[in-house]
Amino acid sequence: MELLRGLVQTVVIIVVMAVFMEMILPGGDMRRYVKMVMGLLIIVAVLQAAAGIIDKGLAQDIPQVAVPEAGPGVVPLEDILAAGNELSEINREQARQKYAEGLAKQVMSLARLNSSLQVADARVVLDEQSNKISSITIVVHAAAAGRQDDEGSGTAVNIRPVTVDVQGGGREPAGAPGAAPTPAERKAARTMAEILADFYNLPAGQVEVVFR
Amino acid sequence: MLLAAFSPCTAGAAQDGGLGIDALVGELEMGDIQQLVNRMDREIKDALPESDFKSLVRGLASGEISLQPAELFNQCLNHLFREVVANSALLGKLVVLAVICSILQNLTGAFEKGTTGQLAHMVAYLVLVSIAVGSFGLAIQLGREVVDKTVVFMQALLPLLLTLLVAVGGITSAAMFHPVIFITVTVFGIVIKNIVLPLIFFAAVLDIVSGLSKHFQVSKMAGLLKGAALGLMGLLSTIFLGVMAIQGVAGAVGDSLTYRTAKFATDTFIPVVGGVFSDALGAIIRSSLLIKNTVGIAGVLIIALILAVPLLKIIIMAFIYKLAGAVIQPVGEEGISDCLNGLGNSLVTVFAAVATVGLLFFFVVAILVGLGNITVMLH
Repeated sequence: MELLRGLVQTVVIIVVMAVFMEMILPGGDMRRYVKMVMGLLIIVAVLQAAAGIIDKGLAQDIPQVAVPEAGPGVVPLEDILAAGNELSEINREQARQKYAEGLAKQVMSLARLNSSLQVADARVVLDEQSNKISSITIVVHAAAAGRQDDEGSGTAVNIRPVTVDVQGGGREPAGAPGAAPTPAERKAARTMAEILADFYNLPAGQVEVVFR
Repeated sequence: MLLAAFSPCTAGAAQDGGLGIDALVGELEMGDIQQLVNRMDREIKDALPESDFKSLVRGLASGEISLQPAELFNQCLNHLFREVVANSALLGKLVVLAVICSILQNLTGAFEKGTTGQLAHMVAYLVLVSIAVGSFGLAIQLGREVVDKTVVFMQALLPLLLTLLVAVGGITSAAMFHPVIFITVTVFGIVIKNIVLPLIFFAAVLDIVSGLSKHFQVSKMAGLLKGAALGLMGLLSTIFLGVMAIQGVAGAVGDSLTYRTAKFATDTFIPVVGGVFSDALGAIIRSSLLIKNTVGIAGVLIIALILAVPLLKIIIMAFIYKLAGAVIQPVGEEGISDCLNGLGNSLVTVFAAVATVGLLFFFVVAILVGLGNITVMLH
């Protein structure tokens, strides 16, 4: 732009000079010659500017246009991707939490279809990498415990959890005082676990029923 | 009008799926933008519904802050009248000098030699022109400053928008956009600031010089420079928008393809509940999208406010010049009237150049916001 600025300055000076000379010179043919000479001077100024552009190159005259890919004001892509992925991970964690909560409610609803068991709670654990279900735990009130609660003795009852494994080997803790499920409850729990495992397409070992 | 049309959508969306908006906004790095907002003029800060950028985004996302177009319009109108009053001194000077010029022109015959009156007329004309060029130069400087401010704000806003684009799954789009968007925004700003605005200024100076004498004209050269400035601006705008639009669509399709492949795998291989996780993720992504759109709206609002005051000043100045030209014409001084009118036209061109910067940056934000919407929509 410096060349152009110079050209405009020169043209302005020539025009002002031409106007002054027009005033100073007496009227007649001389004025026409002066006008022509001034016009030639403008042509020379324009040609000089054009030659300057060709000589220097236009790109050199406007160096700021060549913006580097990384510089002030340009944030590296790696930083943007890292920040975005961090947010994405927060989103994924929230979604995983919502998904687990939703699944737990679904499992509980399915389990409550079995009226012979008092389902208290359901928990779903997800695999952190694939988000697949890694285990389902259903907490069921044992009938005996339920009866004790109903009687309202007002004292804390020492109940230890009983686990029924659908693979056959029910992990029943020995000597659970007053909380042992009845054989009918065990059978119902096993059936429920099998149904849930089939429903969610899981290996039988991943569904667990716990008596309390 | 556009902002007003956006605001109910954001409010509605917030009510539908406001999943952890506060937490997500809290995680975003907005320090650079906040610094720029803090550095802004008091009148711009006053016009903002909230001077804290995070609170502004939160308020817009939750619908607590609603933009009132009527209030904004009233503020603009107030400012407009204030500027007219502030520039009335300039108008007075121009008119008085033009009248002096005109009287001297009429008195030329009274002097012994005609050139004496001509000289006095030229001196008065030069004084008038120097006042006009001084205020025109100020307008050009104002335009350059505002372009600079807008570019700096865009450079702070773009990383945030790209980060949110990555968060909603637009990784390919962000990677494709990254170098191009920064370079085009910076180059566009530099070209307008360092080439287009000076070209308009030179054209205006040559136009004024042409008015000195009827026998020695350089108006064609002034027209050439003005044409070059406008042509350059049009060419750059076309390239800018073309590149943005093509890259945006290509990136969005690429991202949706990646997402759909992963979703298909999950839905197919985990029966019944396979879709639940992707649905939950979709809901969360939509709340990120809401924040992205709100950041975009807040950004556009700030860009509009940065531009509004200087643009108003420039257009009022153009109006003053044109008004002075119109008032002077009946007095009989054609040259001065043409010169002032020409300066008014040049100022309108400056206004157009600066407004084009704002418009194109608005398009950039709109494309980035729309790109996120397309990416999520194609999910």
